[in-house]
Amino acid sequence: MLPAACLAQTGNGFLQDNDRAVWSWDLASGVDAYLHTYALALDDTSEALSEFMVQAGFQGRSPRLANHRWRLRAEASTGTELWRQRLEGDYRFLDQDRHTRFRLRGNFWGRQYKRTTEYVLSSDNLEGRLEARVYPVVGRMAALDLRAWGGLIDYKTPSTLEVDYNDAGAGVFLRSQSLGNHMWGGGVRRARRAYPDSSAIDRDTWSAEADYDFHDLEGQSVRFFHKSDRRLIADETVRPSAWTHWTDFAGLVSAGSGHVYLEAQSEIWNYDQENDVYFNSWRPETALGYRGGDILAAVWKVGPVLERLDAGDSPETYTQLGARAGVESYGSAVGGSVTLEYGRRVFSQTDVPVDDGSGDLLGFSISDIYSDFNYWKIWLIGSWRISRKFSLDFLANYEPENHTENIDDSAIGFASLHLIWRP
Amino acid sequence: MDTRTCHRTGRTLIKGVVFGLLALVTAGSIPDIAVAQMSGGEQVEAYIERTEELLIWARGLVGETQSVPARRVLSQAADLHHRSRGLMSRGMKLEALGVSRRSRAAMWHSVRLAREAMGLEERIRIRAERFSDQHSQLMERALDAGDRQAMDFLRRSENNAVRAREQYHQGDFKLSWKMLEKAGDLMRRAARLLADGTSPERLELEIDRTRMLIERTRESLDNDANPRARKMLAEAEEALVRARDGMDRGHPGRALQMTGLARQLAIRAASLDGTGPDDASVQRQLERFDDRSGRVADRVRDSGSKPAREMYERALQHRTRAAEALANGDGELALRQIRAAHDLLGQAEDLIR
Repeated sequence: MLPAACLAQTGNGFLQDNDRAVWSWDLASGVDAYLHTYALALDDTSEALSEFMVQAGFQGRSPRLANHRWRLRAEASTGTELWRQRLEGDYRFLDQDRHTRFRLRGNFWGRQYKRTTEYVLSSDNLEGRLEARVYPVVGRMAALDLRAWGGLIDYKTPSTLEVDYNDAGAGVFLRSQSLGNHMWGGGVRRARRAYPDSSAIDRDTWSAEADYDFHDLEGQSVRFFHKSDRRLIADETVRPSAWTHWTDFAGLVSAGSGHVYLEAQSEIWNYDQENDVYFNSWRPETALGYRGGDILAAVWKVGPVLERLDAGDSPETYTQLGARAGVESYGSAVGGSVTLEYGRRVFSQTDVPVDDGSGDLLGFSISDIYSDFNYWKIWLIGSWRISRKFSLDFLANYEPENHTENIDDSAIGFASLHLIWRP
Repeated sequence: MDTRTCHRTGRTLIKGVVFGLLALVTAGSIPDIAVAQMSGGEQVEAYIERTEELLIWARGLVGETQSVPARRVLSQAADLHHRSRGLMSRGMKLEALGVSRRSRAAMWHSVRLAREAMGLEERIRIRAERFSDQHSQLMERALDAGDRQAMDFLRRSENNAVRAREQYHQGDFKLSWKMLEKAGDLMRRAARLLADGTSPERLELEIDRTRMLIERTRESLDNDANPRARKMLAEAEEALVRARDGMDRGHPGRALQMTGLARQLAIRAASLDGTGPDDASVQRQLERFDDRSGRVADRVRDSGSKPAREMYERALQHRTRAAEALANGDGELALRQIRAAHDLLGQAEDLIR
């Protein structure tokens, strides 16, 4: 039973009402499809799975300007493959200056597979995560944020591939107050993941991260993120401990009537002990191009993309070059985007001497583990607001790889089409 | 084999991988002609025996990951191997050799899939953590701003991330990785919408700025002004009315678009007429600021909000600098300063609203 003061609202009302708690519900139906094609010996193996589902959702939120702000969403669905339930909650306490002082956020999922499911792994499971944040110091420029969280996944019938685990962690962060065009933040966190049935791969992680975000009204922007992560594995003979450094940069600068964009990413893995399975690597990725068009009509972008995996002597080392183009348009009724990328990945094909584990070379080498390939990446997204109550969402991704060795050809894709009714 | 046993034997498995790869190379290095010449029963028998050894080693590598495709391909490789053994036992040597070669090819493929999966498992974990943090921040902003379009993108990105997690649990790391990437794309679209200013406070600020620009341009156009400039300015005013209408009707994205159009038209009108910021227009902005700040001052004081008071004081500082710059004959600097003062005053108003 809903509180008497709460009123049923339309989807628009859910966002707009400032003075009252708002409740609404929605109904969605659609299809999700997954495709993974790869070769087995001389025959192709296609794993295609499509899932029809009907989902009901119920949500509520506090008055938008209240000091105790909360949001709750519950949803349940049934489909051809499984039943799903989800409960999401978010509570914030704001002081008289409208600064958040406390936040509690939780997400829980339940999944029960049907007997006829085509999913390979079909143990029913419960997954959840709960996070609490306290903001003890809130200044004019920044706020200190102390957080702790816990999570789990619990399988009804655990197996080698369906492994229970528990997560716990804590962190200290400092984040700018979002009153200007410059936003920044950073902090450190420690987390632990424990596998009750496989303690050898329990791990502790220490992370430090920082981010910066700037944008102006002319559409220029800079976004930077860096995270260094130290992963310590309980039994290093099973999996070595490692350092990871991940840096993400994106910039948009006005040029003519449009913008020049640069996106760059770097990912470094350094293992305490390298072996043939876990090897050090550096993966830089960049995309550079031009974004133009009119926000009242359509925005397009085009440019080259470059990616490289430098893994030393490992056969995984490759260089990839492609061209990407896309167009997007978001009107009030119909909107969407199309992005295409075509390119080629070339592996280094270095002959790698193999030793017997103690350093003695055996006189053989590894080569041709991977074959070069040309690839396409096709990405579609669309939405159509049919009426005030109905909308249709569409999303699809297809990425085929054509290798120099036909046996390595593969394709991966997924698509979803959902009709949503918000009464 | 249960999970605990699987990991206890990790060292053995890694060594197995080394030898497995070694054996694979050995297998791969046999030229087709040489294989074709393997018609002798003992040679074929030896080839099949070696395939079995390779399968055992490959199982060690594949067992290191939770990749279901790798396990599936390896399982099929083992099936092929058993078929080759059956054919051999019936004396069909050439057929047995052919099937055994297919078995090795499949096993090679499973090794590749497993190695790919190993890299992705940890990458997905790190990306998923980042996604969750960013999504939480953006959802908070979108809700506070009441930005429906950004909310839609965030919901879709979250649904995609949930599906990615399910594919992760299904052991298909490559598909999971792709879905998580796309979830990130959707989330960045939401971030861009929010950053571009579709939140009510930023939109209001943008509308206010555009209105000031139109007023300034109108005051600069005299009776002899270029008719095209006048027409363009009228269109800018009309676009601004439509922007306000869009905001009132709850379409902030549309309102932002119309505001952008209004701003562009006003700038073009000014450039057609050759007008720019002059001392008189800056002076008018100063007077307008004084009017506005007089109205806001009491409300800021009564609210008791420290951030609002600080914002108000910063606005006054910029107003002072604008007046100084104007007195020094630097009209451009004066205009920038008084604009900043208006912006800060608007933010102070937002804080006490």
